Amino acid sequence: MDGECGVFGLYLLVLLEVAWVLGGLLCTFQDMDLFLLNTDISYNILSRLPADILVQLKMVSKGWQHFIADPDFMRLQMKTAEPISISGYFFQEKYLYCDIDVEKLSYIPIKAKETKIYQNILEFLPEKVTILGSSNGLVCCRSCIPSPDPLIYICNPVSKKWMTVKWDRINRKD
Amino acid sequence: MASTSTSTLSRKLILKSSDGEKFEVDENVAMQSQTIKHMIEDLDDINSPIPVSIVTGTILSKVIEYCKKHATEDSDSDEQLKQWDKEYANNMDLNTLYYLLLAANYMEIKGLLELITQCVADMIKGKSPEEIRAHFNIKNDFTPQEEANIRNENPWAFEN
Repeated sequence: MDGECGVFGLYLLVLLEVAWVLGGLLCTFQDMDLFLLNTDISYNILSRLPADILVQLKMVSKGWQHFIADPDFMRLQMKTAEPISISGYFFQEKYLYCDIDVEKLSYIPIKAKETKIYQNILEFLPEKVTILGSSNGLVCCRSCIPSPDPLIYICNPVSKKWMTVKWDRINRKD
Repeated sequence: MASTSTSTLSRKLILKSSDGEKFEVDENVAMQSQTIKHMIEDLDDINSPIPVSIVTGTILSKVIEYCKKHATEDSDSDEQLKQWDKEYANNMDLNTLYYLLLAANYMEIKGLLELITQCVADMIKGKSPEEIRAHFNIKNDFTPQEEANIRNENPWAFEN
C-alpha cells in the first residue's frame, strides 16, 4: 500500500513538473500578463519600484492594478523599495502680520513635461488646510485658522486616506 | 574536518538540464544554488548526474557562467564584479531574462535572482504604462472609461 502511494506520488510529481515546464514554455514574456503568473518573482520585481511609479503602473492592466493594490504587496514594498524621490512641491503663501491663513494651496509636479499647477490635491480632506510638512509621501497639515474645531491631519494624497490628531492649542505658530 | 572541506572544494558534480544536456562543474560553483546544495546532502552517489528538471541546457549554461564568476570572487574587486554582472544581464534578451528568473528562483541562487529582478525593475522604471504593455506584450483589459477613472484618481501622477 505504501509502495503504491509512493508511486502515485511520484506520478503526480512528474505530472506537476511537466505542467510546470509547459506552463513556463507557454508563458514567456511574450504572451502573458507578465510575471503576475509567478507571484514570488513579481513581488520581487515590482516591490523594488518606488510608489510614484507604481501608481502609474496600475494603468497597465487589471492584473497589475490588483497586484499593486494588494495590502501584502504594499507592506513588502515599503520595506524593500528604494526611497521615493521628490515628485513635486507644495506651494502656499501666508500673511506676515495676520493670524488668518491663506487657503489657496498649489501642487507643482516636477517630473511633468510641461509645468502644470494643481490646486485640488488635498480636496479630499473635509476642510481647507495649511501644510506643515511631508515625509515619505505622507503630508501633515492643519485646519486653516480661523476654524471652529482645529485639527491636525496626516494624509496620503495618492490613496486619499487621512487621519486626524487632536490639536489643543489654537495658535498658528505652534 | 579540514581535510573533508578541501576535498569538498575539488569535487566535480554533473548537472543535467531538462533537455538532457550535461554540465560538469566544481562543487563550489554548483553549491551557490541552495536547491542543489540540499540535493547533494540527500545524494548517495555524488557521481550520478543531478537533474535540474525545469531548466533547459541553454539557460543552465548561462546560470553556470554566473555561478563560476561568483565562485571565484577573490580574483575580482567588488567594482569589477558589479560591472561584470551589469554586462551579463544587459546581454540577455527578454525571453532569456524570463527563463533565467525562473531558473534562479527554482535553483535558489540569491545573487542571480537579485541581479535579474533588479534588471527587469530598471527596465520598467523609465516606461509609461503604454510602453510597458508594448514591451512585455500585455493586453490592456481596461475599458476607456475605467482607464480614465484611474487617471482621474491622481491626475498629477500621470503627467510625466
